[in-house]
Amino acid sequence: MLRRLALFVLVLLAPAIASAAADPARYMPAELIAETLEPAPGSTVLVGIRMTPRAGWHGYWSNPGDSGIATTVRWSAPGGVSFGPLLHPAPSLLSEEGIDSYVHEGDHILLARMSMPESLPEGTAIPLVADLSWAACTATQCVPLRARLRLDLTAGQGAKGAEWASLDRAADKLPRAASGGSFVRDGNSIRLLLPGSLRLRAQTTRFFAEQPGAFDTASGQVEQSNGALVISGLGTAAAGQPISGVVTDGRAAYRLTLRESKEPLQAAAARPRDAHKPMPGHDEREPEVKPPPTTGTASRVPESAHQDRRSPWLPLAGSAALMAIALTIVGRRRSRG
Amino acid sequence: MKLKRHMRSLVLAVSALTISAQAAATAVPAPGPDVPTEEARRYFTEDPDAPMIAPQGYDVTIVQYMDYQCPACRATHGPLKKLLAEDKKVRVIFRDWPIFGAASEHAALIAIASKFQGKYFAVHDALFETERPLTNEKVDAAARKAGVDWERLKKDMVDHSEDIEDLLARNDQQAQLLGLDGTPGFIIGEVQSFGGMTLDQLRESVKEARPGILAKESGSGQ
Repeated sequence: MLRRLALFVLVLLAPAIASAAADPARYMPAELIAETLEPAPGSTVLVGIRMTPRAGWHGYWSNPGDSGIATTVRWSAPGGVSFGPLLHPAPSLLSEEGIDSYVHEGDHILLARMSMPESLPEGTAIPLVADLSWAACTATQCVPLRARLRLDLTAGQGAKGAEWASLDRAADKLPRAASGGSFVRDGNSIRLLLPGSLRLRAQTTRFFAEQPGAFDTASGQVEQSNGALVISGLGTAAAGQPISGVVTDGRAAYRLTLRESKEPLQAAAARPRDAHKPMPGHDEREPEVKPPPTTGTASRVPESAHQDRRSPWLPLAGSAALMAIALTIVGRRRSRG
Repeated sequence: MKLKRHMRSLVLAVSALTISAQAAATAVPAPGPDVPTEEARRYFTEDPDAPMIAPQGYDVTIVQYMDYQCPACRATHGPLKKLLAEDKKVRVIFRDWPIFGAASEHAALIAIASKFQGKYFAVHDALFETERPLTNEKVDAAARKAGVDWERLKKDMVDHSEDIEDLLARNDQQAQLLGLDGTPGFIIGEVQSFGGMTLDQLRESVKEARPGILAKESGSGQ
């Protein structure tokens, strides 16, 4: 039996090789936006990185889960301008082949607060640069991405820009700081006792720990206990350390720091509900517990666990540089051994 | 089906301009544009420095490009191990391609260096089983747990530093020539693909490759 070999030997130009880093536009474009293009001196301005993953691709939460790669950003701006940490919306759980990842599916915005110095005179140019490193994955493919994002701002009066509303909505979707709650443990078994004040649907509630390994989200079993939710699961939280993370039912999300309780579970769960005290360090953009928003995150889980393994190669030939180059197609027949 | 098969046929993207300068003397030289396909194929599969599992009488070769921090690579590790356990006529060539940062690079270095004491696959396996995110400390602990002689490994990293660096450079070059933007990437027989696979998909790919197109060159273990 003869079988045809179709080996395409492409002659590539060296420069094409040298610049072969993945193009974010093919997987997960990122755009730098700000609520105002004229930030006022002394103010705090929301800036965001708008991620628009292509269908089937996802990005990662701050704790990416069993695997995956967290997004990092390095900000550059004129002296005196400072930036807070990257703030993520609540993640969703993606389980594949026994590997649980904490991901962002669909369009989403990562936020940061930019603090403007008082001393900046109006009219000063503020070239804002974000060196972003992130990963886009499907269930079966992972691509490391890098981009230098730029946005030109000018110190001014803080007039609302075109992205004000979308950043406002993104800020509203951030997990809200909530106080109270605790956890008890027995070896690797951990029970999270959520504050009774949270209004979450038990059926879809999940807890995502900030610290890798502290709590295995997928193992969590949710039950009602004295009007509060209790999530039982596995984890290896460090002794003496609280478990901080985000609890979400897919609609509302809250940021919690749960402290270890030595009391038996029933006693701990029966304690009076925690008062709504603000968490230290959060600002007015993350108000205390309030009615959950009704919007959910669009799901873009690929229909097939395995991507079409041909299509990623086709753009190879689509590259303008390559199109101009002759392809030498060598066909050859060989007999079966 | 015929069209599909044709579309999936291996696309070897070979640069005569860039590889020849970097390929190590021991590796198969990079083929030019007019070389026979067999020579082009050998560039990807015949590399004495690349760790491999090569059973006697293998008839299918899998080349895998992977990173220890890549979720999809991790998801494919289990199925590939199962395939190797059930099919003793499959050769696997492991091409470490660390693209997800410094910890990935350290993991690849340690894994390749462990090959000189015959521990590559044990370390490779341990690294994929290690909880993420990887750190240099976790990588070293995984290697020790896999039974690596640590003093020997440190010596090998020095004695073979050039070999390891050259191998990593070749792996990188090949992945880019294949047009890979990420991991994992595979060459199974003559079929090139980007993306992890289930056990069934691996079995199917091997079955399709099995008619014996690849030369049965005698390969050595690690």
